[in-house]
Amino acid sequence: MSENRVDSVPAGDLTSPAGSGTAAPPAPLTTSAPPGPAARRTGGGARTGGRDRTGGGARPHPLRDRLRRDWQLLLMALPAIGLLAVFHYVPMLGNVIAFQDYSPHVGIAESPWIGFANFQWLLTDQSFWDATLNTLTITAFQLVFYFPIPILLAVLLDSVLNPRVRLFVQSIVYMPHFFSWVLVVTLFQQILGGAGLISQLLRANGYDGIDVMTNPDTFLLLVTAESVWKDAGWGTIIFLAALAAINQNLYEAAAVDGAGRWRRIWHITLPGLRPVIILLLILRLGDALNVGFEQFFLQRDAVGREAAEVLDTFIFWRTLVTGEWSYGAAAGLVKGVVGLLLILVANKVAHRFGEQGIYKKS
Amino acid sequence: MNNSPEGATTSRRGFLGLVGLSALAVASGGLLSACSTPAGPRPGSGGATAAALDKLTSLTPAHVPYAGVTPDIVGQNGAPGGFTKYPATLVDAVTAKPGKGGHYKAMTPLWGPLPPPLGDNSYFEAVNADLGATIEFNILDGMTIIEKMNAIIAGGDVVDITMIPSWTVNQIPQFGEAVNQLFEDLTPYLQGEAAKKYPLLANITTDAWKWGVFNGKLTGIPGSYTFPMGVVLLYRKDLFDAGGWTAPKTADEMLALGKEINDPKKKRWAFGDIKLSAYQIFRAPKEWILSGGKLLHRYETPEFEAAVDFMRKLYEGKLIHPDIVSSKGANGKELFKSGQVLITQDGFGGWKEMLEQMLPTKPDFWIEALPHFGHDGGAPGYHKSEEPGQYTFIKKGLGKEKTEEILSLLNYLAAPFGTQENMLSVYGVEGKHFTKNEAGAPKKTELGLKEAPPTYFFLSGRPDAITESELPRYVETAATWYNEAAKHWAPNPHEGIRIQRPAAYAALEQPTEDKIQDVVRGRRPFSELKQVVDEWRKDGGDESREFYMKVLQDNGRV
Amino acid sequence: MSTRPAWEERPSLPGRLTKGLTLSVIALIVLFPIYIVMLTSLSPAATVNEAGGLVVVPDGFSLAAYRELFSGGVVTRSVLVSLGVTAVGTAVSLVCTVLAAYGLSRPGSVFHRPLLFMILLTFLFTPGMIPSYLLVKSLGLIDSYWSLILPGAISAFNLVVMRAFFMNIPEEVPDSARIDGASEFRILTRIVLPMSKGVTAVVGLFYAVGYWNAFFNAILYINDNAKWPLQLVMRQYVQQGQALTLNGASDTASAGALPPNLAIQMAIVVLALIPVLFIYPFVQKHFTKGVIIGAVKG
Repeated sequence: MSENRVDSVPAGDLTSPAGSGTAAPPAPLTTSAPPGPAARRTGGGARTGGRDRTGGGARPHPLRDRLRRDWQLLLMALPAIGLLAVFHYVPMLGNVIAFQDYSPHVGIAESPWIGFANFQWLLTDQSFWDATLNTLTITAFQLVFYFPIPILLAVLLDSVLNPRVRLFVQSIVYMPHFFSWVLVVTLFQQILGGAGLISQLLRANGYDGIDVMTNPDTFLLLVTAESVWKDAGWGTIIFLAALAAINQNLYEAAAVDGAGRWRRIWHITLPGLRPVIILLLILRLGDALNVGFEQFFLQRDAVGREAAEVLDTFIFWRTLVTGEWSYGAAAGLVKGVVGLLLILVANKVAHRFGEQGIYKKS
Repeated sequence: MNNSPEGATTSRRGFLGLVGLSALAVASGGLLSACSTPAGPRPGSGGATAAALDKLTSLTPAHVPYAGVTPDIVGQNGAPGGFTKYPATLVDAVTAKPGKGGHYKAMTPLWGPLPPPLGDNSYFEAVNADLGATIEFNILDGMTIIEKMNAIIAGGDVVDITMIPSWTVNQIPQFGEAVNQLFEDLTPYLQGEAAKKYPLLANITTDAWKWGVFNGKLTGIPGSYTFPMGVVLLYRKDLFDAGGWTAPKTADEMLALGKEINDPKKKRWAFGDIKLSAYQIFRAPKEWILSGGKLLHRYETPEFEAAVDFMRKLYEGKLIHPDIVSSKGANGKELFKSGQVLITQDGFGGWKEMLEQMLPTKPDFWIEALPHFGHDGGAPGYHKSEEPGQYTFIKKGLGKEKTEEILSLLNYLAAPFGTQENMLSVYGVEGKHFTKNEAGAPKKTELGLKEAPPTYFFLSGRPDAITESELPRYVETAATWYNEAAKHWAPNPHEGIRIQRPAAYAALEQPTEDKIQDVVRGRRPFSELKQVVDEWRKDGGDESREFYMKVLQDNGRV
Repeated sequence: MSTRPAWEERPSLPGRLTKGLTLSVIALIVLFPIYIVMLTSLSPAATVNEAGGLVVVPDGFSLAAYRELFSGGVVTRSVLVSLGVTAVGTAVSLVCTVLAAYGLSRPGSVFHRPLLFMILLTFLFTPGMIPSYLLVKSLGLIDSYWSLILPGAISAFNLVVMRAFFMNIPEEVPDSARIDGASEFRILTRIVLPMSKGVTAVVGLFYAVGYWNAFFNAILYINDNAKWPLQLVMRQYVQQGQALTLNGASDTASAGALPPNLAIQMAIVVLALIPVLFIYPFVQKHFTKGVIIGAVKG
C-alpha cells in the first residue's frame, strides 16, 4: 500500500512547470534503459548516418553548440509553448487545491492545506475503484472494437475510385460527430428503444418489443455502437490524410511486381499508416480514464451504476454536485498520472517494436 | 470595461493567490505521513451549518399587504389565488418615478432565446423610461448558472444587481460568507418599518423574506415563492374522458388503472417518471421526520419502503414509457403531449405551459392535476418547497444613494399582477409587444416574444397568482386544486431552518439513490432494500442524524 | 469518371458489388437518423406534438423553426462573432501549431524532448475552471474576443499528430536544404508544408470546428450578450420552458405562439452541420494523392 502511495509523488510535481518541463528529460523515460540519455542520443545519431553533418558532428555536443545550431527551431516552438505556459500551466497550478480543503470564495491563498487527505479518501473509496474498473473495461473494449473501425473505413473510402461518390460518402459519414450525445441517445432510442421503430414493428406483428437500451449486460455493446455511429466517420479524416501522404510510386512498383490489391494494402497501405495508428493508439491510452461524461450520465439510471458508472460521472456527483472542488482536483490529478504512466509505458513498448511512438527514442 | 476599480483589486488578490505558491512546501511536508489510512474528518465536512430563520424575522421588513388587486379565487393556507377574469383597469401602483437616472448592470439567468441588447430593444427602452433609470442586462446561460456563479464569486466581480436561483445558492460552498463580502447588507434599508419606503417589497410575506437573511444579515430579496408544490401529477383528462377511465383514489387503484390503460401496441404507456409523486402519495417524509423523540430519515420509514415497492411494480409491469426508462435526456413533456404517456409528473408551471402549447393546434387537448389522494385512500403528504425560487442581491459598497435607487427600482418591479407596472415590465407596451384578447388577457406579439423574455421579472419578487384568465377553466381548476393541496403538507421538523448539508451526507445521496434505483428497476430484489438502508446508516447516515438532531436541539424543537 | 491509375487492375465484379453494398449500408445507417433530424426541423407544430419525439413520417411542411431562429438580429450578429473568432482563432492556432510541430520535429535538436513532454502534459492535466477564470480576468480579457481564442489555442493532440506527419518526411529532404544554407523557416514553408497539405488541412479543420462549436469559454468569459458566439445563442433556444419547471413561476408567458421546442432544436442541429459540410470539400481537396515525395526528389 505504501509503495503505491509513493508512486503518486510525481503527481504533485507534474503540476509545476519547473518540475518536469524544462529540466532534464523526465525520469521515467530513462530509468529502465541502461545507457544514459546522452549515450543513447549519440547512438541514435550514429544510426541515422550522415544526418548530423550540419550539427558539427562532435560527439558530446556542448549545449552552446546545439543552441547555436537549433535556435531557429526553438524560436519556432516559442509561440505555442508560451501560450501553453500562460493559459495552461499557470491555471494548472490551481490544481494544488487537491492538497487543500478549498472553497472558491475563500481562495487558494487562504484555504487550509491538508496534505494528501483528499487522495487518501479517494483511494479508499470503493465507488472510485468501481468507476475506474468500468472505465478501463470500456476503454479496453473500445480499443478492440472501436479503434480499428475508422482505419478500415478510411481504407475503404480511399479505395473508392469515383471522386464524386468518394466525396459524398466522406462528407456524410462524419456528420454525426456534430450531434450532441443527447441527440445520439435519442436517435438510438427512437430506433432501437422499447418504444422505438423496431419495437413497434415487432409489436404490430405480434411479438414483444426489444429492450437493448436498458439491458446492463449488453450496455458495453450499446455504448460502443453509439460511439462508432457518432465518431467513426470523423475519426477517418486523420487516416485519409495519412493515406494521401503515402508515396504512390510504391503502389505502382508493387503492382508492376504483380502484387494484388490485398497484398498492396497489407504491404504498403498499413505500414504507411502505422506511425499514425501507433501514435493515436498511445494518445488514446493516455486518455484511457476518459470515456466521456454525457453519454454515460444520460444512460446511467437505465442500466444502473454497476454497468454505467465511469470516472467522469463519479467525479460529477461526488465533487461538482456536492461542491467539493478539492476532491475533484485530486481525482483529476490521479487521472492525469495514470494517463501519463500509460503513455510512457506504451511509448516504451512502441520503441521495443521499432516504432517511433510519440517521440523518437533518439 | 466592465471591471470597476473594486473589481481590479479583488482580481489582483485572486491572481496572487493563484501564483503565490510558497505554501506548496507545506503540502510536500505531508507526503511522508500520507501512508496511513484516512484519519480525522473528511475534507469539506466542516461546512455544515444551520440557521433558524424563524428567529431572524426581526431583521425582515414589516409585512404590509398591498390591497390594490385581489384575485377572485382567494388563495388559502399559502396557496396562490386565481384570476378567472382579467382586471378591467390596471392599478397604478407606483406614482413617482422610482429612478434618478442611474445606469445599472443586472445579471440574470435566462432559459430561453436571448433578446436583442439594450440600444436595439424597444421593450428595454420602454421599461427603462418608465423606471427613470437604465438597467442593462448581462444575461447568463441558465443551464450553466452554477459554473458561472462559482467563477464570479471566486473572482469577486459581481455587477450592481445579481439574481441567483436558490438551488444554485445551495450548491455553492460557504455561500453565506461570500454573500457578506460581495453583496450589500440591506438590513438598515429594509428592517421593520424602514421598508415602508418600499411598499411593494413590504408586500412580500415574512415567510419569504426570512430566507433572504444570510449569515445574520438581510441580503437577498426573495423572488417568486408562491408556488410551494415541487411536483404535480398531471393526467390526460381528455383521453381519460374518451376512454371512460376515472382518476385513482388509492395506490392499488392507480396500479390497476395503469395496467388497464397501458397499451404498448398502440404506443401508449400509463406513466412517465413519477417517483417523487409516489413518495408523496405514500406520505414518505421529504427528508427527516420526528418519531417518538427520535429522528428518522425517509429511507428508514415504512412509508418510503412502500413507495419503493409501488414504483417497483410499475417498472415490473412495464407501465413506464421505455424512453423515460432508458435515458435521462428523454423529454417527458413531449411524450405526455403526444399521448404516449397518460400520467406524468411536472412542475406546476408545466401544467399551463403544455395547455398553451397544445390548445392552438389541438382544441380538445386537456390536462389536469390528479385529484389529491393518499395510497390508502387518505390524504397525501406533499413536500413543501419553503425556499423562494431565487434571490436578488445588490453589490456591496455602491453607497447609500445608489443602493436606495436600486431598491426603488426593485420595489417598482415587485408590483403584483393587475398593476400597470407589472404589465409593462412583463409584457411591454400594448399594441407593440402585446395585444389584448376579448377577455382582456395580454398575448405577446412576435416583437414581444423576441424582445421581452423574463428579465425585469426575475429581478424582484411579488406575491404570485394563477393569472391565465384567457383559460378560465384552467384557473378555476388549478386554484381550487392548489387550495386543497395546501392542506396536506407533510410535517418537516426542520421547517424554517436554512441548512448547509454536511458534505458526507450530501455525498451519500447519489450512491444510495443508485442502489434504490437498482431495487426499483428490478436489478436487485426488493428484500435488499433493508441492506441498502443499513449501508446508508453505516456510511454516514447515522452521523448525519446526529447533526440534524443537534440542529433541532439547538433550536428547542425537541 | 474514375481516378483509377493506369497500373491498377480493373476491379472485379463481386468486389465492386461488395464495396457498393457496404458503402450503401454505411450511408443508410448515417443518413436515416439525419433524415429524421431534418424532417423534425421542417415539421409543423402539430406534427411534432403528435409524434411525441422526433418525426419519422412526414406530415406537413413548415419553416417556422428556421424563421424563429433568424428573426431578430441576435442570431445573425452572433454568426458574425463566431465567424470572426473561428477565422482568427484557426489562423493563430494553425500557425503556432505548425511552427512548433516543425520546431520540435528534428531528431536530436536541443530541448525538443523536454518541450514535447511539457506539451504532452497539457494533454493529460487540465486546469480547473476557476483558476482559468481568475487568469483570464487578471489579464483583463473578460469580455474580450481573445478570451475565446487564447486559452485553448494550442491542442497538444493536434500538435503531436502534426509533428508525427512531419517526421515521416525522409530526413534527407530538409537536410539537403540545410546544407544549401536555407533557413529553417524557409525549409518549413517551401519544402515541408507543401508536402504536408493533407495534415495541415486536417489540423486546420480540427481547430476550426473546435472554435465554431465552442461555447463554454464564452459562458465563463463573456458577460456582454452582444458578444456571444452562435453556439451560445443557439443553446438558449433549447432551454425554453425549463425556468417554469425550476421555480414554478406562473407569469413568464413565454410559451404559446412559439414553434415547438423540438423542431427548433433540430433546426439548430441542421444549421450547425451546414458550415462544416461547406468546408469539408476544401479539406478533402488536399487529400489528393500524388507522387508527392517522388516529385520533390525528382
